[in-house]
Amino acid sequence: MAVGESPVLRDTLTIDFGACPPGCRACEAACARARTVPRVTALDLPAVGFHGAVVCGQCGEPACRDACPTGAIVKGEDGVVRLDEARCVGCGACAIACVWGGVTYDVEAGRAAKCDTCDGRPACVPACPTGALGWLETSSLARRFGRPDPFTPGIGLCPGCAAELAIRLVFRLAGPDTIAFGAPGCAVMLVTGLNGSATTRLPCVTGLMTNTPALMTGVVRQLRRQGRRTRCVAFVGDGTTADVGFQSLSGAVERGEPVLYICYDNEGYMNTGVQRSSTTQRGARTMTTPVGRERQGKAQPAKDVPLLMAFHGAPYVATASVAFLDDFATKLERALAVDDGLAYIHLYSPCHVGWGAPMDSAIEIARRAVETRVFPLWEADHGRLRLTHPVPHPRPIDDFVELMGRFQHLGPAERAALGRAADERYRRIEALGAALGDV
Amino acid sequence: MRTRAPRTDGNLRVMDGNKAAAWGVLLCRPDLLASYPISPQTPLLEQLYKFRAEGRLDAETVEVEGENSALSAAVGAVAAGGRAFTATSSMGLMFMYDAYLYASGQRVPVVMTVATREQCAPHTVSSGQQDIMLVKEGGWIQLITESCQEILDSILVAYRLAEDPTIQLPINVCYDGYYLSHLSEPVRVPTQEAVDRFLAAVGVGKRPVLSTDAPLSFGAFVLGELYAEYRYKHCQAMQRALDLVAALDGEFEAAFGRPWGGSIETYRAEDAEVLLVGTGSACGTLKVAIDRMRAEGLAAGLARIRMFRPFPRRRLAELMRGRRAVGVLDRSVCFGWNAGHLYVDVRATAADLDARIPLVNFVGGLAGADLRRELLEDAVRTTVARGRGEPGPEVVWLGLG
Amino acid sequence: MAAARHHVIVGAGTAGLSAVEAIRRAAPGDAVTILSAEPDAPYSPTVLPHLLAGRIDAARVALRPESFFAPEGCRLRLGTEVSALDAAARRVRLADGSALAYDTLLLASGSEPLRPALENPHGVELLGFVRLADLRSLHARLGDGVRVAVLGAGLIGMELAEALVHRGRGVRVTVIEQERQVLPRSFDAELAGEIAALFESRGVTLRLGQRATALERTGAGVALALSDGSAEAADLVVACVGVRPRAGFLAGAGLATGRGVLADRRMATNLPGVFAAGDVAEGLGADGTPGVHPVLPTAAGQGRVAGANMAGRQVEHEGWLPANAFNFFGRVALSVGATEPGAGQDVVSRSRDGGRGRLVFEGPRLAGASFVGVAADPGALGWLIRRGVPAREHAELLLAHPVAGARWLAARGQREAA
Ligand SMILES: Cc1cc2nc3c(=O)[nH]c(=O)nc-3n(C[C@H](O)[C@H](O)[C@H](O)COP(=O)(O)OP(=O)(O)OC[C@H]3O[C@@H](n4cnc5c(N)ncnc54)[C@H](O)[C@@H]3O)c2cc1C
Ligand code: SF4
Repeated sequence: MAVGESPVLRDTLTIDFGACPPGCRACEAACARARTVPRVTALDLPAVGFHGAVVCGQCGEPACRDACPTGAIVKGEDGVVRLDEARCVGCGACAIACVWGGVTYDVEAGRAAKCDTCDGRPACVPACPTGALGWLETSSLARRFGRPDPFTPGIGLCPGCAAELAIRLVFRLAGPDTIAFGAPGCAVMLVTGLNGSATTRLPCVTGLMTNTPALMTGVVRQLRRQGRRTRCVAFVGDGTTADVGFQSLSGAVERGEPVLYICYDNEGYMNTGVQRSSTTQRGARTMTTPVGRERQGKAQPAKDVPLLMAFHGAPYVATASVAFLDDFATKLERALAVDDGLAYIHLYSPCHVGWGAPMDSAIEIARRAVETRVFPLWEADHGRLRLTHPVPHPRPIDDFVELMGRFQHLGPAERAALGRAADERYRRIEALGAALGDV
Repeated sequence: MRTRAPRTDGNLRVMDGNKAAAWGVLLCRPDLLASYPISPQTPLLEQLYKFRAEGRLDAETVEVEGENSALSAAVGAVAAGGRAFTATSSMGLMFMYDAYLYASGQRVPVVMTVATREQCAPHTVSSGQQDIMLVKEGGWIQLITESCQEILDSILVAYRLAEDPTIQLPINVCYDGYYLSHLSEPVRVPTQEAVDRFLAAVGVGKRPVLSTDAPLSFGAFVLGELYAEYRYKHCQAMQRALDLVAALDGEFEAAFGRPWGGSIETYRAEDAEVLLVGTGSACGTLKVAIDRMRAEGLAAGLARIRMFRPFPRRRLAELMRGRRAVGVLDRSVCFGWNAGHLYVDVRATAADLDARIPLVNFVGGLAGADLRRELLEDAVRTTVARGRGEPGPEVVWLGLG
Repeated sequence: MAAARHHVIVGAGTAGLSAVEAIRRAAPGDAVTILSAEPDAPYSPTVLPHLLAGRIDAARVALRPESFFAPEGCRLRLGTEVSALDAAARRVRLADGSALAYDTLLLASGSEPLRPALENPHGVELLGFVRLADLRSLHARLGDGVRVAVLGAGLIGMELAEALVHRGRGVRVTVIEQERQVLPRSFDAELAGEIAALFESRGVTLRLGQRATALERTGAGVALALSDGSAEAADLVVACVGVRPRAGFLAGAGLATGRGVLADRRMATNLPGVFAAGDVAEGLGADGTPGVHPVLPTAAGQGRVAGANMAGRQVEHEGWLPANAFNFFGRVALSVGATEPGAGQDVVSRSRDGGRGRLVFEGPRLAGASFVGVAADPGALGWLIRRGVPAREHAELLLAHPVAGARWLAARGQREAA
């Protein structure tokens, strides 16, 4: 942890204040069994008709710690404020300093005691009959976002674009020993800077749309030759990936280059003003698939690049969505651990500008794409394929379609067809999962 | 009494041009070799893979799925601090054109040989210089060789020049497909120690590289004036290469006991009334033709352009000054000018001279068509005739009806 | 972003180190130099009785782990005494003659013992009990069966007496106090009487309402003349008659002082860039009256506020509130806020199962609380007192459930405030 950074609280006890049944005190009993004196206090006060509990909130800047004369109280990297009873002299200063009822004075032992969450397995929580006391696991995402961000604040994409969120997450998780690769597309300046000013403290490379995987090949080979484990991570668009750079990607997959390749799929050439790419969905309106009397949107379904990659033999392939960042982060961590070949992540990242949707809709569209089965979330880890976010009860396709102007010309029949295609896509993955999943 | 010391100029072996190139590359100890087969350079790559298999060459090998990736992988390795090599010909060069421009714009000192070949269509795999001529404006340094020895030597020069901190540019070492790539000649292979010494001034640690130790942005997005600055500096580096190549010739001789030759080779040019200008292996025949025409009393000489890019304009202008006529031999076609590419350059160079000199262009040897001695003798005669004021077409298509 | 500043902290105690913590949070790039006159790794004098009693070993009293001082830009200089302050030049002078420049300065030099006014014609050695050096002297002279006279039954004196008893080895302890009760500034007479009885039951001789007027050497020992004309025999005399801010070295610096270095709610003194916190400071109380309040929670709170302000923030201290907690021979006692009712205040009290509680109210509001022999929550009670929470209607609840009652009232109020 850097100087000045307060440790971030992660998982935490929660209390529904006043939601305890009268006379319960089960939490105190459980705590006492686990940890000598109870550190959670049951406020069982029939005289005033109140039944609740309080416990230490693991303050960010704990006053008890500052007051302790022996350094017995320490806030750990995990956010938990722990009291080392072997150092405690029982002066009680911490109990005076804490106004939250977080420090208990153990009269018998002549020492202070406080909750340390039983190191993440609080004994009180399972004992609570009503759920007044809970254990909230801060999403692992918050934990992952806690890592240092190598990018400058305020980098320019269209307002509301979720790609920035994704980029920051990717390179936070990749860590400082990483080289970032971009290719022409809307995110490229974000990755590699503009006119002599960098946006990241990582070394970065702007490749061509046609050659990024090959460039990465040269770089990673040379680095490995020097005995370096530096990670090479590309964050490039669907035109680069599915169309003009497809060959170079295919070559790198086949050769097993140890790099991480992330395609952020916004279903088209958005940087050049919204033209179709091979990942654009059937029916979608773009500038090269406009809607007129004779033609209405794209005539062909989207190229399923992640599935191609899985069958291409890439050791790790996953789809991900900006609306399911935890899922994305888990996949990133897996992908970053791969060293026996190319890891490929296909990230669904809506372009609200190109898709004709409001500025605040990117995440919602992405969420519905998953929930309508338009974009199934899955991974294939060394041949084992599984859905990571099963959608047993899909939302109607209209929930997805209605969010975007690009589908407004579709009639009920076309929409239904889109829904069927989504279903088919999903079931294909499901069937593959059954066939190629855990054995 | 004679002592026998190991010769720094190396042992004599008989080998073809591809193999000579392979030896040159081997001696330069590249870190990475990226390859995609295409005739007529393929035997060069095969030879390098053989060296690799035998354990003589310690390099990463990347068998790519196309030439664009071949050059790009080489660029990546160089960017990360390594020395890389790749080779191509003809359509392969065309297929890597975006990466070709990328490599020079990024100032990546990669070395790539081109066994020159005609373009398709019409479909052909035969010798010609159209491929390298089509990329001559791509910001690379281009060396065009005449013999198998010169191929090997030029690869050594190329790494030394490309990686020089003041240059930092990619280099093509070009040799005529089949005429040189498949022609066997005796070649002196220098010792590894001599090459190591020659290259000691350049290499790893002598330039900024991609590394998380000292992060830098490789290929940032650039607009307007800053872009102009990049281009200006690129041109300046090109200009410096002209000077450095002259100096390197001396270094080369000191290292290997024989000159490499510099940007232009002259042949019987001192007292020549007319000057022929050409590149590559055809100049061998041209020299014979000149000898024979001299015997007939025609005072012709030759300037063979060895460094084609940057173009040795001042030196060539000096050589042209005071001649009665200049004839240019081209094995490629510059559409639009409807003449040869070299001819266009020579024409531009002529503007540096005070006096107007008659110029004539001979286009021939396309797609492996034989540039027979007789055709070249005719070319010399025609040049002499133009010098005497005889009229005729500006472009003469040799061997064409 | 502002350029990195250099903060100098005089004193490596609770106040000083809390300030360092706050500076780091607010201005991580700033440089901090921490000076301590003592050669010891930063410790708190609170640990002295516990070390003496053997309740904790010396290896476990470091206020902060070594890593606390490791970051770049942080310098801990032990054995470095400040001898003067030149505020005009923004420099402190060190005892070795050198000077140290600062952008901001924190005075956190703690307290020093008061000397008792008594005749001492033979120059009998008077020990103190506020620094580790004092403890070392005491240790060196504490043989088995030694008679120790403790002057003063305040916080430090009583803790010393308790520690000596706890240590055992036949040491006999007499405490001499001019007031008629022990801990006169912390407890009312009734609760104090209980504590006194506890000490006496452990063999401590209490001479209350007596002042030591003179010391005389008698053969191997010392005779203490008391104000009632009697005498007490002893081998060692330890003066615990109180502490005062350790501010002598600041004389002539132009600092406004009262009983201590005067500081406002931001813990700023009258001199630009100079702050004060902890025992040396005379800050404002919760009720707005200035005073020296030499206890840990105050030192920590003031230090934190001072540090934040030194780093450029605008933070105010909520004001100290009298608060003490003791554990004498396993009997716990604590007091928060007023101990005796003043004008317009009244008391509600209750004794039960050997425990006693006493609440001072001012109208509906809680003004003070003390408990002996029962667990209570001084932090929650303190919060109720500071905020003036109307608690009278819950007096019985607070006395019957000193922990849960106070926590409930405080938690309810805190939720409303949030
Ligand atoms: C025996 C004893 C028991 C106590 N028990 C309790 C208790 O149970 N509960 C409670 O709340 N409080 C207790 N206290 C009081 C508590 O210890 C103090 O209030 C607290 O330590 C004050 O912190 P501080 O940072 O102001 O000063 P200190 O912690 O005393 O630190 C002062 C620092 O300043 C340094 N210093 C002084 N002068 C100079 C100078 N000229 N130059 C450089 N450095 C200098 C010292 O070396 C030291 O590092 C007790 C005190 C004593 C003596
Ligand atoms: S009671 Fe223990 S933990 Fe609390 S302040 Fe005192 S020594 Fe520290």
